[in-house]
Amino acid sequence: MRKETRFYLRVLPLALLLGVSPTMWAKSQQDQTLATQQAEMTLTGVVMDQNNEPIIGATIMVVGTTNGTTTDIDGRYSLRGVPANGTIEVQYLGMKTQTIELNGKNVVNVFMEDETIGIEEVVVVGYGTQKKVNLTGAVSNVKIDEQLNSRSLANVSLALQGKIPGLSISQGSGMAGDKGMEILVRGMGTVNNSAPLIVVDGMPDVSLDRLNMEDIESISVLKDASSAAVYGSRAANGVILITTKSGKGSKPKINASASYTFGVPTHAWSFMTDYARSMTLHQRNKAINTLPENFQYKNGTIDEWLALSNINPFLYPSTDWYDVVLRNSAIQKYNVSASGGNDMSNFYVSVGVMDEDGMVMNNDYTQYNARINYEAKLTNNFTVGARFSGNWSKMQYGSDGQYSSIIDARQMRYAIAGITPYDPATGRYGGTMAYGENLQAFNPYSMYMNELNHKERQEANGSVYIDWKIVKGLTAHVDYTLNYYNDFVWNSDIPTDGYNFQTGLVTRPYVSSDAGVTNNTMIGYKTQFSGRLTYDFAIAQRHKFTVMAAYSQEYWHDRLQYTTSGDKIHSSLTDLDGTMKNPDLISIDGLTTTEGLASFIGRINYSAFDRYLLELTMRTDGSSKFLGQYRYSFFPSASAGWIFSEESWVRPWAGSWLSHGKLRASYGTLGNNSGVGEYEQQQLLTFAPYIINGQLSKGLVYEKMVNSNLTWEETSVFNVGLDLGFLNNRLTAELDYYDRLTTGMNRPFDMSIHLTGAYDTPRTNVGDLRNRGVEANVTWRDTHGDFSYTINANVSYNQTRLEKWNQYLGRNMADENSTANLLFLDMPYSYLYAYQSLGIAQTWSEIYKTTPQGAQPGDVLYQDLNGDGLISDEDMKAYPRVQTDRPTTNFALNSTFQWRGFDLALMFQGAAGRWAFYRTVNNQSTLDGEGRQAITEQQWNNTWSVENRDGGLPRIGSAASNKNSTFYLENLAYLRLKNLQIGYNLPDAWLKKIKMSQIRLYFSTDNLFTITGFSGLDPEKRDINDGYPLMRSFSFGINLEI
Amino acid sequence: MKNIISTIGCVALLASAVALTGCDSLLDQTSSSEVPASEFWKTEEDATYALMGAYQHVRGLFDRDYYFDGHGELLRVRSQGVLSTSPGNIVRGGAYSNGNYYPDPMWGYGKTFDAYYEMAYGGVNRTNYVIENVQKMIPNAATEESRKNLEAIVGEARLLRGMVYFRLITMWGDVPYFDKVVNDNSEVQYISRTPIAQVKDSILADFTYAFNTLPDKASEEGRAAKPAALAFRGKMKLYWASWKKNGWPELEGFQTNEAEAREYYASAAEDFSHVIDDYGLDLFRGGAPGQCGEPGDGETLPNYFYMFIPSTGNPGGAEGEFVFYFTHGGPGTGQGESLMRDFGGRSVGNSQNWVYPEYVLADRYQSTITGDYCEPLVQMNPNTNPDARTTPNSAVNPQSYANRDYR
Repeated sequence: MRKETRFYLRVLPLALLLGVSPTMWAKSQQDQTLATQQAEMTLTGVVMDQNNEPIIGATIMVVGTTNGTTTDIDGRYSLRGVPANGTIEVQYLGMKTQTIELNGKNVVNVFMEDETIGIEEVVVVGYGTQKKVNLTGAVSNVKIDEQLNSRSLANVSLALQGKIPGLSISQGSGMAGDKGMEILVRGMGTVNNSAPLIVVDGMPDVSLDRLNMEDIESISVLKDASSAAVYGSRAANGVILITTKSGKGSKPKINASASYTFGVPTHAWSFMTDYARSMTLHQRNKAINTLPENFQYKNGTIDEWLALSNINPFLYPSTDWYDVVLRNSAIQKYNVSASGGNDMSNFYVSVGVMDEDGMVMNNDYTQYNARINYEAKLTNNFTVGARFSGNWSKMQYGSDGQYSSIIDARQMRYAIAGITPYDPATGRYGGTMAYGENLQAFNPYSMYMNELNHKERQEANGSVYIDWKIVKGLTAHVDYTLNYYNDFVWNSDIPTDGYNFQTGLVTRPYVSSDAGVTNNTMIGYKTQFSGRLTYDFAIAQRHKFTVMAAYSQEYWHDRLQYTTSGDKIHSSLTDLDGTMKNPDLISIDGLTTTEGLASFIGRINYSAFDRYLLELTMRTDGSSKFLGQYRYSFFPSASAGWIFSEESWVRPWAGSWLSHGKLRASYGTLGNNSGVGEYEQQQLLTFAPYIINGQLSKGLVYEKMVNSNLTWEETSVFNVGLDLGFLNNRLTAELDYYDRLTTGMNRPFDMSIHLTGAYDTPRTNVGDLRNRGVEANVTWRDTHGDFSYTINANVSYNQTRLEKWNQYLGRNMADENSTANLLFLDMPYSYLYAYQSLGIAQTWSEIYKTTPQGAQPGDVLYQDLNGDGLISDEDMKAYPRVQTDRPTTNFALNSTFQWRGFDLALMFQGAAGRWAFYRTVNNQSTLDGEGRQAITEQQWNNTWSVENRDGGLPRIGSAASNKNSTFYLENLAYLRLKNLQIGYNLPDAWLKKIKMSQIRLYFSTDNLFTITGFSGLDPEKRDINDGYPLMRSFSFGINLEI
Repeated sequence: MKNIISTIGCVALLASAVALTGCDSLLDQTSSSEVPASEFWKTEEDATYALMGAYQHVRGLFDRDYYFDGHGELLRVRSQGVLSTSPGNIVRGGAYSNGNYYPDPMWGYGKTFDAYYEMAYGGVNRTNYVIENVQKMIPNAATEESRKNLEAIVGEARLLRGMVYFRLITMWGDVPYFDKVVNDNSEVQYISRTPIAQVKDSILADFTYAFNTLPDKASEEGRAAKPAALAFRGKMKLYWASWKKNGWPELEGFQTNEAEAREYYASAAEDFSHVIDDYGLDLFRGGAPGQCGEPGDGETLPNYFYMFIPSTGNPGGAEGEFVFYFTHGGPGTGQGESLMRDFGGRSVGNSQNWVYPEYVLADRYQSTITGDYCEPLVQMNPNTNPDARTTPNSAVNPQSYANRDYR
């Protein structure tokens, strides 16, 4: 008790500071005093685990009262006022709860057993929780443990990679502050927004990237219609449910952690720094069709450079641009949290900071997180709670906005080695110098210094809720949530010129002298009000029912304001008031959008004899995006499960090895309205002014034709699964098959030429897309004395197929929204369509033997697939089982080993089934003819010539080789050691001396090695032109618990 | 305490019930940056705003007709179609985009006017939208004046629609005709062509309605009045008379009809005479109909060319009035034209010199010394012939243009 009081004294200022009311604590103390008055005896004892180690913070409660305590640092407890014939309940997270009848004993030592993981486990599902054993839908669960936290990842999405079968997570970029994460549940479900719904503590639409991973208790992924149907129209692409930590059943404690991570690129492009050679290659390129006197670069220029580059590298530079603009990345993370709880109330408060220096210079990101979760009982049947979390971030990166990535192959190709980045003596940025160079050549250093973009974002998410146990079995829950964000993006480019240090002249402006300031503000909030009633009851004891009915309404309000004003008063100023405010150089945009969604939700769970399970779910959604008869849509689902291992005819022969067996199946419908604009279904008039008397005259036109028949995009999912547990659940397996059909995908459609001159094409329901796949998740757990280990393997395969498209689809026709992805019926979305390469022609006789195609030795020869004597796009071959944008198969092997204080984690992760043309400006053999292309080592060393027949690339300047052919086709399958981690917990004996509960030291490394045949930057990246490397990282960290 | 809490619980549940009933307003969200059509069409101002929107579009179908002169021998339009236009943008020449204005067989003569066709039907839809909606307002007009005003607005819109269809039949003969607001693609997806005679009658009906309802003088600069309707009606009749007289072999089923031609000639002349005489307009050369040769000879006929020619004078000045013109805005309005960019040389602002006269135009200039026509200029290539720029009478010798009267 004294120890506790001291603790409270320590926590109290923190609690006050964070707004937690201390009165609840006082009340709980008072209740205990009351209980003392009925005291009959004082109960003492020790709580220990299977290894006879004391358990700190286990809760001991007298059943039927509010009298309770927690064990101290030695696992001891002492509880006054316990009725001699009472019953106590001992709880500890991750251990089986024990109920012990005292029968007059006043010393009770308790040995806790580990909870048999996976079976008694409670899983968070939509609008409630369910025992994992009773699940009939496809739900996967991840506990965020110490080891996952210790990977010091920049965001939560990365942590989910390889953890759940069917959840594919790809990282688009290594950029600090924007890793370009794409999360897909069971493949790409629609050509519109296919991202899953993220729900944090009951509130949908929270960004996964901005959560503090240390705050997360568990993550559930709802993969099929039955589990996700309670989210109806929001859930067509799956749901990720996140529950944050609470202090429930935990003794008061403070946790602190700190980590430092540094990273190097997993792989980088290799440019040639020898500029004289680069110019020589340009000459060779020109020589194909140009007389020597018309070459871009003269022999004299090359000789001059060759002779002087070693003598005066300032005037004749050999710049290694990657060396100039890339650096080692660094992530620092610090977190402090306090939590605690007793029977009356519990709390969790935390603050965290992450600071990331990206791999590209001046790309920095800092994020601060704070959270308060608080819950208290007002009376025995009334609980109120509040949650608040906030985050604040600041991001900076250099970019001129030309490409989505801040370091793109198509831009870096103009970063020629012959430019001096910067001269500190004069403050000048280098421009083109060699005679014949194109003035448009690129100085990346100037861009990363002078064209910086800044993003600041603040979020505040708060919610309050009331739980009311009205009568036995019937509970009501009402909550209100508000999420607010403020997003501010600004830039103020610094006027800069490129400078020729040889001639002392300006080459061209990099940033024009009238560059101004841009301020983009986005502010918005989202509210959700929801109420639900849950009724648990049983008929004849063996028929158990849970009936849930809920209503929820959501409202979105987003406002943006974009302002740009040109011509700064002084180059150092960064605000709009620091500009000349010349009306001709000002542009302003402002817009508010709002959306409402009302939902009625119902669910019935029925279990008979603890082995026959049935679940019916329905949700009706009404959206402000739709009008009239299409406003509301109904999404039903049903699922059933059969725990056959509980059958009396199974037990006798299988009971010894089969500990759990369940067959489950589900079918249902989900919806998606994300493709439809907020006001798209309303007749709105657009401003179209005319001129009257020389002045603008207000004019309005109707230019958005409304498709009054537009309806919801629907996804129906059939899922069948098998859950198995063997050998006392040491071996568990979950197997799933699903068939997911999305119908009525909406897209703006082809419209008559008699209308397109006046109207934008409205959306119509044009296409159907099917995803089919299998998933397996197998885990082996065991303990041998001090040694325990877990090995988990998971694999998923998904195939996508376009089944219907009510518009013209031609050969080689790409999706108009993402032009890299080809569309055709009965083919995967983004299927592979390729010319068949016969390899590089080595001799003329080889060329004469093939279909005439204007080739010469060194060119890629193509196969005349249809035999018409011509090489045309009719000779391309389609591959019905290959995708070019995403892998079809994802797999991972997770393993952890524990021995005394040591722990080791190994995680392998990989993907297969994606093939793509790896042909970028860096590895094709045609050069930009304008005289500003940087040359890669590959282009210099590997291009075909009579002396270099096996270089691998076609001859220099071979434009005909640049077709999408199997020559440039590469398999993007990979297997990588995603994570290797070693941790050590200091022994308790040492900890006691310094009065700590836990100290863990660890070392962790991500992406240590990769096995892949892909020669591009990284097979995990979506865009082959994106040059921001992924990180091979090394982390050191410490976790403390007081 | 317990009671109070139970009360709170009940209130919370009640609040949910209230929220349930309030969900209709939750689901009715309206735009704050665009005007909902349901709130529109209430006042005369609304009708005028809609008309202005139609004006903006139809202006874009007529404001760069000088490109079409590229098909003649005096004007050269460089490039096949991009010019200074922004494809799809009606204000920035989108209608003229992608057309071929240089009669080179390699460029398919005058092909690829699909953008013009598309945008012309855009104009049909824009005007139909105004006509149909304002028409509905007329029965509810509060006063006689208001009714007249609304009718005039419909008249203006019908004038514009008539002009668009007139251009359509000029370019494509028989064209699909529709005069209703289209609400769904299926209504026009398989629409067939309407015979030209029928389209012509509809156009004349539009012009006649406009003539009956428009004011004598435009209320504002940039809008149409009676003379515009009358002049276009006359022009339509003259056009019809000419084809009826001379025939149109390329148009299937089109037959000449001398009597009908004569009737339309007379009727056209009647309309034009009212334009010239009745409205006190100070037109270019008084809108003179032109020469009339020997009756029956047919060599020289009145063509009313001057009536439709853009005046060399300033609006409001001597000979500075037009029967009808569209107005553009200045810098910063986003409603400007591209004359400077099209005609200006590279040294003038951002000009691109897309359009310039052929040298043969100078052959029409008389000598300021002798008063006679000069020797025709000779085309020479300065890239292959070093003397091209100095040879007398060479088209690329600046001296060849001296002393020629360009007036």
